Amino acid sequence: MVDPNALPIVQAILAMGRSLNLEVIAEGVETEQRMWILRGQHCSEMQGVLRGRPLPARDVYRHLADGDVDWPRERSTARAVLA
Amino acid sequence: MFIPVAEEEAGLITELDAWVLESACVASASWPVPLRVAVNLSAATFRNPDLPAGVAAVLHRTGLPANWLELEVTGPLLICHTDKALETLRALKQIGVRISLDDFGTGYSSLSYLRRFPFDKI
Repeated sequence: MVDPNALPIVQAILAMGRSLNLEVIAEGVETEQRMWILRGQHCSEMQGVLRGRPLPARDVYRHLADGDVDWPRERSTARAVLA
Repeated sequence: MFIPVAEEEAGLITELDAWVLESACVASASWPVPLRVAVNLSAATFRNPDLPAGVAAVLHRTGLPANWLELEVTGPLLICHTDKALETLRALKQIGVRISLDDFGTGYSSLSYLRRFPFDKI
C-alpha cells in the first residue's frame, strides 16, 4: 500500500469483520506486495488478477485442479466469467 | 462495461442475472470438490419479490447445495425499501445461500448495514 492511510483502514475492516463474525475477502489484489501485507494481517481470502484473470466457467475447475493457484479449498469462492 | 446498458434496457438485466445464476450453479454443481460460487445481483433482480423462490428453483434444478452459492448485493440495493430488502435477505438465508455485501467501504455502503442485515461476508 503506497497510501499510508490504507493499512489502518484495512486493519480496521479486518478486525471489524472478525468481531462481527463476518468473512472478509479483499478484492482487487493486484500485486505481491499487497498480498503479503494482507496475509500479514491474517486476511484469509483474496481476489484479484494476481491470483488469476477472469476465465470461462468451463476452465475454472481445471485451473484450480492444476494447482497453479494457492487456493484454500474449504473456504474458497470461485468466481467465473460465464461466457 | 455492458451492464449499465443492460440495466437501462427494461428486462434485459433480469434476464442476464437469471442466465448467470443458472450457469454459475450448473458449473459449480459439475465440479468434483465443493467450491463456492459467487453471483452478483442487480437491483432489478434483487427487488423482484419472486427472487427467493427463483433461487430455490435454480438450486433444485441444478442440484447445487444451497451453501455453495453466494449472492452478492451492494449498498445501493439496500438504501430504499429497507424492510423489503431485509425480508428478501432473510428469505434467501432461509434457503441456505450465503449473502455478501459487495464493494464494502466504497460508494454507498454504510456501517449500519452490517448491523441491520444478515451478511455472511463483506
